[in-house]
Formats: sequence, C-alpha cells, structure tokens
Amino acid sequence: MLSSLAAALFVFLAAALAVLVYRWLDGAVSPNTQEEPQLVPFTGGHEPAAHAWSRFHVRYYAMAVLFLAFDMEMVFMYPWAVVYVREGLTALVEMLMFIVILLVGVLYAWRENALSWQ
Amino acid sequence: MTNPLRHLAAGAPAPTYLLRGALDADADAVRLDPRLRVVDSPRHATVLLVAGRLPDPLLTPAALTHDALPHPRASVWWGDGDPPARWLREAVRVPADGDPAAAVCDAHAQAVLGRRPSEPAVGTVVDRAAWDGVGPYGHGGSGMTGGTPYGRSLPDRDDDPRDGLTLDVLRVTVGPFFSALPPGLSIDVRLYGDLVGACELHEDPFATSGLSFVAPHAEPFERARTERVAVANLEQARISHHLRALARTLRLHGLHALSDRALRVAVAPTSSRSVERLLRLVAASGAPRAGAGTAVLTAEAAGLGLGVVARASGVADDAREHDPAYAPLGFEPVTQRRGDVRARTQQRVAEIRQSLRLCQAAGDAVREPGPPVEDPRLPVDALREPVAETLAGLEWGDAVLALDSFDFAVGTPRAARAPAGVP
Repeated sequence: MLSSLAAALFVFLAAALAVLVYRWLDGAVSPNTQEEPQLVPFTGGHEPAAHAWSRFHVRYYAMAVLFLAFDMEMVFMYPWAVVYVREGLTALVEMLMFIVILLVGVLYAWRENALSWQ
Repeated sequence: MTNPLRHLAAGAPAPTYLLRGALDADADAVRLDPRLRVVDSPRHATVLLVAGRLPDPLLTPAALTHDALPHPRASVWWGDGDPPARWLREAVRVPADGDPAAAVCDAHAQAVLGRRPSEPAVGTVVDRAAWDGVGPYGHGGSGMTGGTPYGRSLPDRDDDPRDGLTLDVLRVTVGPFFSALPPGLSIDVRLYGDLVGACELHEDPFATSGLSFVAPHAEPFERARTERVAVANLEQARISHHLRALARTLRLHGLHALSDRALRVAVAPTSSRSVERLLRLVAASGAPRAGAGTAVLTAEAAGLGLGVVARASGVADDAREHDPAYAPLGFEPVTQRRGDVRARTQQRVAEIRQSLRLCQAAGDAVREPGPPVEDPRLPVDALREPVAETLAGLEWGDAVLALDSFDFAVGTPRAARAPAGVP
C-alpha cells in the first residue's frame, strides 16, 4: 500500500519537475519580450475599442449536457456487461428498459429543439 | 546555447507578413517563393514586407501591424520612390523590379542573429493601467467584473437577434490587413458571440486617395479598352484572375498545398491540361461545394455590370456576348441560379473552363478596342450595401467565406466594370 503511494508521489513530483524544467528551457531559449501591441487581439490594423471579455450565449450548452448524460450511460454499461455474463436474459431486459427510458428523454429533447444549433 | 538555435532560425524560410499596397509587380508570386513563409498573422512573422505604396488611410493600420510583430523584427519596403511613411525610411528597400525574397531573407537573418537591432514600435507603447475595481483589494464595481480592465471598457450590451437575450456585443473593425479579407478592405462588424449582427464595408481606401492601381495580371483588361489585344491573351488573364481567387478560397478552407498549387498555375503560364488537372483536384477537395444557401444575392440585387457575381445569381450579363471578336467563337454566357457562396465559386470554375475553350478556339484572333471589356475585377464600391446585408445573421466563419466569394479587387480603378452594352 505504502509503496504504491510512494510510486504515485514519485510520478507526481517527476511530472511537476518536468513542467518546471520545460518552462525554464522555454524562457532561456526564447525570452518573453512582448509589448502591449503584441498582446492585444490583432484584427487587421485597428486598436480594439472594448475589452475582449464578453458574455455570449453558449448555444451548444443543451447539446453538451445531453452528450454528458449519454456518456455516463455508456460508462454504466461496462459494469453491466460483467453482470450480464452472470445474470443473462434478466440483465438484458433490465438494460433494455433503461435504454428505452433514456430514448424517451432524447425524443423529448429533440421535440424541444435542444438538438438544433441555432 | 542560443547561438546554434539562432543560426537554425536564421537559415529557415523567413516568416513574413505581407502588406499589399499599390505595386506594379506581382505580389502574389511572393507566396510561392521557397525562401519565404508568408504567414497569416503578424504574431508569427519576423519581417513585415510592405509591397507598394499605401494610401494615407492605411498608414496608421500599417504602423499598428508593424508593432504587432514580436521582437526581433525588421521591415522591407518593396517599391519605387520614397516609402509612404517615415518609419519605413529605415526599412530595407527593394525596387519594384527587384528580388524581395532575397531582401526579406537577409533582413530576417540579420534580425534573428542580432546583427541588426530589432525595430522599435512606431506608435507609443503604453503600459495599460492594471485592472482595479473600486474595492480596497481591486475588486468590485459596476458591470460584469467591475472596473476598466487594462484601460479598455467592457463591451456594450444588446439584445441577441436570435432569442432576445441581453448579452454583450463586440463592435470590431476588421481589416485592412486581416489576412482572411481582401487586402485593403475593412469592415465594421457587431459580433454577438460568433454571430454577425450588422456589418458595414468601408470604402476602397486606394480609390478615395487617388492611388488606384492595376495588378500586372489584370493589365490586358486595361489595354483592351484602348488597344488591340489578342483574345487568347485576355482569356489567359481571366483564367489567372479566377485561379488567384480560387487560391484565396482554398487557403481559407485550410487547403494550403492546393492553394499554392492553384497560385502556381495562375502565376506561371501553363498548359490547359495542368489547369484541368488542378480543377479536378479542387472539385475532389469539396471546397467548391461549401457555402450552399449562404449569403444569397438575388438577381434583382445583383443587377447588371457585376460580372461573375451577377452571373452566379442567374443574370446572363456578359460584355463578351456583344463583342464582335467573340461572335465567331460561339460565345454564350455561363450562369448559375442560386446566387450563394457555392454558386459564386462554381461560377468561377465554370468560367475558367469556358476561357480555356475560348483560348483554344480563338487562335490568333485579335479584339479591336471599342466595345465594353468584360473585366473580372469587382471594385468594392460596386456592391458595398447589398454585400453588407447578406453578411448580417451569418456566423463569423461563414461571413468571411461569403466576403471572399465576392472577390473584391481593392484598389481597382472604378471604370473597371460597366454594365454590358454601356460603353
């Protein structure tokens, strides 16, 4: 137990050290000499009038949430596959019921235009 | 440790940002030079290549573009006479008939190796005030985040045209040196996220400053107004013009190798077989099929005298139809129907094929001056308002493709296009 913790700690420290070394190398090879004109967004030769931070509607939000829901469903199917080997038809029927319920959810989201981009 | 790396960088193709002005040489050919790597952002460049004279309205944007290059940087002025701006007097100079690539490579190597000091900023570099809110720890204030972040106000608010949500709207001027737009063209856009809410095209800065110019490949169209010109020469110039437009479109699609190939065929005189082979590759890439239903210009809005753009909208208006030199060749205008981005690209491809056939059929036939010339160059002022209307409501990527599909020739003399039958 302790040895596996030590190994994990070693990997973590080695990764952190590698990041620091790469950062130092990056600075040594190419020192950052950027001035303000190189830091603002370039739009073709005009100074930006407003700050680039702006709030806009993330329109793929509903689609992203749906994706996450079905992604989790796929994760649920991995342990189910092990159970299916033991339980057989009962597990298959239960999973079919689960998927049908989810499918109704998809149809509802479709009806509510959650899948349209605009 | 840095010296070997600097030598490696100095020997690499010079990353170059190209500012195109009024020049008698073929600035497109620079892209094909293996000694250079023409980049799409000044952030990736070491050398700023100013090709030709710039009108007064473009001098400040040119200076800001220069300052956007990271250090070490250098400038090369390619043209005859005095440079158009004071800061360019210190730049490396190349005459219009010189070899800009050699000068750029040399300036790049000198800058990278530290043998030439990096050019200072033309404008005043100010350290923006740190972003402080009204609270004792720099927090709080009005608006989304409070305070004035780094000296710039936060965007205004407006109702989103799609669903009426009140969100931020960015007012941005894009161009005249934004690589995805025709060089010299500026547009004002109101961006709701990635959606173009409203758009306005600026006037042609070259035309308003009396600095219109004729690119070398378009020179036969100018000569044809007053001189006898071989029909084959005119059609070859047309093929070259359309291939250059196609090369820009392919570049926007990210098909850089195919774009360079199209440009290579456009710049160097080649056989009809090489053009046909290129067109087959372009068709296989799928690029000509992009943009169906995007930025539709109706036949009524297109009207007469707009050449390729009008014919893509179904208006059979082509000055060659009334030209006696083309009558024996059995010329008939080619048109599309939909008037969208896809139709305009496919119209260009169809006209390249048509010009290939005309070249072969024309032989030594010569066109006499007098009838109107079918000039493929479209001045910006011919279509500013209708184009701005077609861009409203598009996502930014589609808007850029749409603007490209009109192939505006910024800097073209206003007399370049006239309705067919109007001398």
